Amino acid sequence: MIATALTDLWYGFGVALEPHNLMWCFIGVLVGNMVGVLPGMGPLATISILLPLTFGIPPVGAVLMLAGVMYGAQYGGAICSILLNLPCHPPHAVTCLDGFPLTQQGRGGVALGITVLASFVGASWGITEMIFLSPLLVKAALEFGPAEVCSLMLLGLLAGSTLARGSPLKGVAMTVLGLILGCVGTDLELGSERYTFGLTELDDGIALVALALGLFGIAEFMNSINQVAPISTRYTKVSLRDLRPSKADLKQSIFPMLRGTMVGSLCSLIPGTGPTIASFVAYATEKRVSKTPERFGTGMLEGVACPEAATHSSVQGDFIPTMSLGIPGDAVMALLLGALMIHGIVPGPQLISQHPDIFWGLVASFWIGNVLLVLLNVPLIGIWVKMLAIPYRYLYPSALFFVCIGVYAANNDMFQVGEVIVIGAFGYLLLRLGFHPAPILLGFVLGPRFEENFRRAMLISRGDLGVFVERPISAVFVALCVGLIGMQIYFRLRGAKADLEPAAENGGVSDIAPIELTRRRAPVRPAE
Amino acid sequence: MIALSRYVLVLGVIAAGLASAAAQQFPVKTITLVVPAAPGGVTDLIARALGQRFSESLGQSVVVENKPGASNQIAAEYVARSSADGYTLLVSPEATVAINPYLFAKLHYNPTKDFVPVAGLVKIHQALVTNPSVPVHTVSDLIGLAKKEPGALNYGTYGVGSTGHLNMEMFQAMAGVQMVAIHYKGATPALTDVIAGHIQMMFISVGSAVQPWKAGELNVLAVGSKERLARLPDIPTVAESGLPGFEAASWFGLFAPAATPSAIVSQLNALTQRVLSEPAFRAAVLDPQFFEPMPGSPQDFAAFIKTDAEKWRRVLKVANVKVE
Repeated sequence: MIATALTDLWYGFGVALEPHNLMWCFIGVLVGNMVGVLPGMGPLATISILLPLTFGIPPVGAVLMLAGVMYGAQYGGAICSILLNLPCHPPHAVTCLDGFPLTQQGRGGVALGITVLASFVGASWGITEMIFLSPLLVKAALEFGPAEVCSLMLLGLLAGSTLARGSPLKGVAMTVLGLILGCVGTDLELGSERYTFGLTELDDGIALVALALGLFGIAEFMNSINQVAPISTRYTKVSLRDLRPSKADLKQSIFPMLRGTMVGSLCSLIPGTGPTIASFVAYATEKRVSKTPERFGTGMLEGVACPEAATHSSVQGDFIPTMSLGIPGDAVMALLLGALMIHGIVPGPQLISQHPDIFWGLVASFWIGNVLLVLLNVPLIGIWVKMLAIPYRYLYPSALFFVCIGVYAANNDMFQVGEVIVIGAFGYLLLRLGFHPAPILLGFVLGPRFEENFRRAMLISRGDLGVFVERPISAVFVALCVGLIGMQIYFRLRGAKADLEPAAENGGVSDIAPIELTRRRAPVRPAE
Repeated sequence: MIALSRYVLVLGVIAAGLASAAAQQFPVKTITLVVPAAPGGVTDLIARALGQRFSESLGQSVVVENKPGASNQIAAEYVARSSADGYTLLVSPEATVAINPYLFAKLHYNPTKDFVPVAGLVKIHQALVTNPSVPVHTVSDLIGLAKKEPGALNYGTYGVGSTGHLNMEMFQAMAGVQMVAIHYKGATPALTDVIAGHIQMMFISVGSAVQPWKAGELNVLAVGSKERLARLPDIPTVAESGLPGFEAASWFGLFAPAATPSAIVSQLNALTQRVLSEPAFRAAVLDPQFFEPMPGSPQDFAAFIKTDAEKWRRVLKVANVKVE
């Protein structure tokens, strides 16, 4: 099997390296990388704009280019998260948690370097999976029915609710708020409207893009209004000092990268679990396994490397069900299949045998595209970091402008621009009160999937809760949930003090603390 | 008073003259095809393929604008309120005009008065598919099984009031059986769960069913067309399998705001007819997906909508599906 896969891959490289295909691949990743940096203007909007251009070119070139936009955008997506605390795309929201503090410490360049590396590692694994394991993975993915997905989402919610820094109680409160926001929209089983207040635009729920950009981007901008000048000079002066990750940095982040990659590839297999969930789960896992979980959120390279690797391995992994079953994992994949269909190619289980040039050409182009992206991004890091030297009075308004365009483009709807502003104002309020918005996004992403699958599982089992423990995969997740809660209670009872004190006393925090304080505390009590 | 009415008359004549001049020159600027779905779906695919050919034959650019949401209501409302000059058109599935009026207690647009039907585009025949582990090979087997164990079988839909839901409700009503609806956000996740065996069956477009069927992942019990499909002659229809008169098909049409000049409507209809009958268009877009073109004048299309809406009204009433 491996030998045939390698032969096929060899053939794929032949296809992908044909000059015109190489050119389309390059255009794709370049455009993707650029739109990735623009807030909200995600691959979906870009691919739908580029789609008409592909009518005139051969299907292989078309798919190579559109796929390039898709994964290229992920490379650009982390840049604003790290440098501006502005998650251009939801999967990178969690990267803000540690990426932005790193920038504040003047290590934004290092964070970007690690991101490129993590991206490459994650993507490489995703591609390898696609080459050798596709048939097996597809079978495994089909084992995930409503009960399994429901238990998994529960595990994600439990593991992730204490994701952000600060009081666990506040973290849980924000997760619950996310769950509530996730309830807005049309009830799946009854079709009735929930919490829409008669607004047709809310029938399909709050837009994820608006929520992510509002809570992180707009709220953060408003938060920094009072303290613009000192911060802006501080970041740039220090950040140009070192751009290249040191050996110690690499050593610190290599295992988180690998763990993130695994989480991402698992998430990509489970239907309806895209890169956003993958990155959140990866971050939460990394925090769990870390020896210093209390330092997460203060600028840990692990907190950047792990979710970024997860995002990329998930994005590449998403191609597996799309290409081998013809079943798209998300809207972007659906659009890619649509592009194939316009060329008269019917996606499905027989795509690989009927159109080997498309399948293997695409796989080979992933490698080429990812190498191109690394080559593109490494020299660009220095330029991106210089972006911080732009005075905030120009930088933030222009970023806000792009936020508005991006949110509008997501659905061609002005309502969502209003949505992002309202959410932003609300997020600012939360920031001032010391609530971190990251768990809101987690609850919002996982909650509806939990509910949807729970109700489906209940309908299928005719109301028997036993399905969650009778089905083996689901039972494992439920057991992990119980274990997680049990562990929390155990540690709490055993030594509430021992658990809390090291966080306050830990000497390692001292070099980070001053910046952390100026940044986080100052806006909360500007009078001080 | 007389002067005023004469003035109005003159204005009217000028306006009529301008309108006919505009019709002769149509189109002089970009045409927008509004799609009530996200990029990547069937509606989007049809609009883009059509828009591409429109643009080539008219020499004007044609853009597709996706306005998904609220069961087509956002796009429908938008087009209903656009200027009726033929430059803003709606490419929509049947739900907008034939299902929503009976499904929702209130709508943000008037399905009969806000639009003028321009042309029917394509009909998509639905197939009744089951997971291979379900011990049935024909529709009558299935009805027998469902009668033996009432309420034991599950079927997937792509939302409350979607055609995937209503076709199965119609099937149940006509066959006198009862099964449980499991709703999904879209046809593909439902299809995945049928393939995986988490649910037993669903109605899905023939184009989506054919590939997994050929790969042995699904059984196709029957197609929902009136007659057997020329390209799948061995698959019986539901109608011939004991439910005479049963038809499960989705259709897509082109609509314009109500006051659009009839000259422009006819021009767009003629253009659509021409595109749909092009052999190249058929081979590239229609045939691979088992899309059947819907030829006919705007009047034919309007009459078709009326019959179809009446059918869905009855199905919704019998099945008691209503959204508050």
